[in-house]
Amino acid sequence: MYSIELNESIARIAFTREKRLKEDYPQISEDEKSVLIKQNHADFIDGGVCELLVGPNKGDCAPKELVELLQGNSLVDPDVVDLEAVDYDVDVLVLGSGGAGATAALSAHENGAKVMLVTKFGFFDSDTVKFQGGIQAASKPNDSPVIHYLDTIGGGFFDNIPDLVEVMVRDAPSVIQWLESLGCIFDKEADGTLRTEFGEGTSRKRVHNARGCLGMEMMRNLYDELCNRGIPILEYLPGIELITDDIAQVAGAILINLESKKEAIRIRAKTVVLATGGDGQLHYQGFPCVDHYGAMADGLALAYRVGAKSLLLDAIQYIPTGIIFPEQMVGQPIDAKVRRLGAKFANIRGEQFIYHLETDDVLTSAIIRECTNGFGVKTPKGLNGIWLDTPMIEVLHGPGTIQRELPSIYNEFKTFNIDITKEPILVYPSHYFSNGGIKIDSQGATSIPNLYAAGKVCGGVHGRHLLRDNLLLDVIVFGRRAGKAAAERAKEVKLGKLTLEHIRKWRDELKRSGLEKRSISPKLIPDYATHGKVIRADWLRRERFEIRKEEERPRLKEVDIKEIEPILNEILDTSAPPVARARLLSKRGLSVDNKLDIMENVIGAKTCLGCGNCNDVCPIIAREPHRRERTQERTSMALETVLLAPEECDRCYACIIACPQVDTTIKYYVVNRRMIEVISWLDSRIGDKDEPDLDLFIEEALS
Amino acid sequence: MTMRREIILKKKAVYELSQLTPSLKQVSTVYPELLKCQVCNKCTMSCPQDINVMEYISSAVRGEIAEVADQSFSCIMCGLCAERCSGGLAPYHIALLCRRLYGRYLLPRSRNLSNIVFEIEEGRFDAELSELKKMDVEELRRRYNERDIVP
Repeated sequence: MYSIELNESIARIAFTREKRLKEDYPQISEDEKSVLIKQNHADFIDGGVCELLVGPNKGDCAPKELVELLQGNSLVDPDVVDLEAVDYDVDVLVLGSGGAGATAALSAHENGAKVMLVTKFGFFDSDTVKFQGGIQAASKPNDSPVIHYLDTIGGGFFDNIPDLVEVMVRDAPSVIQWLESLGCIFDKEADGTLRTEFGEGTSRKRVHNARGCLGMEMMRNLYDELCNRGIPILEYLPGIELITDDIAQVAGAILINLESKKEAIRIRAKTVVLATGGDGQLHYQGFPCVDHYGAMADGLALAYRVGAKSLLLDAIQYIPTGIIFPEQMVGQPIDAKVRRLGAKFANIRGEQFIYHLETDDVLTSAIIRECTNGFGVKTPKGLNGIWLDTPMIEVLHGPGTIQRELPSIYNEFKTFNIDITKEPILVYPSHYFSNGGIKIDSQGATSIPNLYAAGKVCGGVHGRHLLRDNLLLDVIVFGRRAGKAAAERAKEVKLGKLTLEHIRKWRDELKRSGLEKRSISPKLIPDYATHGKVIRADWLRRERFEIRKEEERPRLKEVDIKEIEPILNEILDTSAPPVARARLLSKRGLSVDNKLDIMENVIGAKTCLGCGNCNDVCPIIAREPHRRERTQERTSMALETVLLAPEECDRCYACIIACPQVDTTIKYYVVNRRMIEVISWLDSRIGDKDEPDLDLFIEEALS
Repeated sequence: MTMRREIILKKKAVYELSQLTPSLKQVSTVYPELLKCQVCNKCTMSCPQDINVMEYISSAVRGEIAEVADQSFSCIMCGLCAERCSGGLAPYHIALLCRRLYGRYLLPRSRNLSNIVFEIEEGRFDAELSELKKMDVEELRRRYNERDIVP
């Protein structure tokens, strides 16, 4: 729902809608365009881009934030780490669990390698999962890989690497076949013909989709196949450094446990595939971004330190229509289809300021210009935006058009109580894609032996401009190729002695350039989530670095029973359902806070989840079900107040055991110290004439 | 560091898709607990995607694999249905199996696609592609601007 100030602005927009509908805003001339872009576009803002001073791409230009990351110090102290022993020894190590990583792992396994897949967050935390576009492939009689090649290279302003584009368009149809054999359900006609659409910059109908969620459909099938093949998937383990051997080959990686933040895991691998994804969350020049929470260019930093060349690092792509309100959706892209259907822009005065079907660069510049000139609309969070007038579509094409043509956008806004058929959307340019990345050849190999890369972390396939629906294709094609090449390389490679010599060299190089006090890379988690203190210095201290045995590994923080024993006994002796107070004594809850608060101590909320387990397990309520009619609530509060009177409690402690929010230490204590007492006490009540139904109940329970 | 929860809990069955056939018997041999559904409807109530989970489980029990694939398509694999299930089922894995069986065996294949894959393997586009690869930018730009856009 929009705030009051925004609602006032919406009223103004509605007032001028009629006028804007009739008005034909002229397209601007080529000269005006170049002036507009030069003055306003993010690419031309002073200080946005600077030069790299060290490393394989020394002298190239890249965004400031990326330069700082690439020239960062390593998290690992090479003097501390003992590489004599390793924790895992595999053939192919895949970093990243997006489309490219999963495909690479599968393809390496198909080619007979022992594979391990590790990822920074959960398996399904990736950009591929939330990708709603389609996949391009020449599958129609009037289409061919040649036309696909021409479309792609023209779309990328002819800066694409021809070998990579050729491989991509050539593999495209067989990729669709491969996905079908995995069980992906593409949109089809009844006779099996694939249904295709036009995409950005395509000259044929070439974009395949699966009901608008192709990314998810692909990932869940890949995941199922990975599980079936028994490929180990280790989660919450980001890579923080690559290991090399004495003949300068990559020979594995050091990972850190993101949950405890203390253990480091050393993996020796004959080949490493980097599939760590994009870099949107670095927030170049403070722009919002489309990318997933974990897109921090980790792989780029790792590869840069071992000396792998990158390219086109300054080719950044913005989408003019990124959502800016509601806050939860900031950065998410709005498809150009909305504008093609007739939605026009309007500033705070309700005026048009640009023709709505100009190219992305021009629109981006114009929106930035309006906002810097003070014609932007301020959101409650202080961000500036421009109205994209979606109700116009309904006026132009009749009611119901938006629900029919744009169901996903409609439904997304619906969850925030915004009806886009009546209210406009607030937009601002958003970082869409960085075309630069690690330089690879057509087999996914980088310039360093044994190091492969695939997916968004690579560059060069799309030139300077990505055509949206080529992204999934790139990810799958090069994921498959990198996996295969890595598996084949792993068969012949002989690793030398493992070292971290490259970190020492990197430090010397930084010192020579006077950069040794730079920040640490990779950052792993966006700055805004960690409030600036990105990485704690005690992460990798000497004593903590030793690998602990399985049983010694730190567990989740739970309450120490010695501290609370007296009060706990008092609670347990009181005649009232003890679950709420046991929860209060606990340190950890099962709430979502745990997951979001990973950088700090894991202390969750202690509130009742309302799961109703304590209500269900209470023997008194079970014996007298009519008590349930007193209330609809299933919280522990209802149990204590409405369902039972305090003195009625049998003190069986079943509610404590059943509650997911109570620490296991408390549960163990209750079971070990109190249960025998409880059972014997209940046992003594068998045969009591006042409670005939208790007999049956207890006998059943005790048997 | 954790392994995926499903693997630890052994809720996901391990199978080879190419060895299976799309039939009711197949789904219930891979997931025998399918027939233990208690029809409590907790799964449907817990679904964040508003999928009628109990409905597709009932379709699965009846052996209508295409129905299951259709109804469960917007599943995001969060596993809440399995978490709440009192019968110990993992509905989202059952739906995934049905979708994969449907996509691989029941959905008709495109003939055009296999034709074009065959042509590429035969090398029909090799000459044209290598010609384009060698072309200089000016010529390529001319070809790009002159390409016909099929409506």
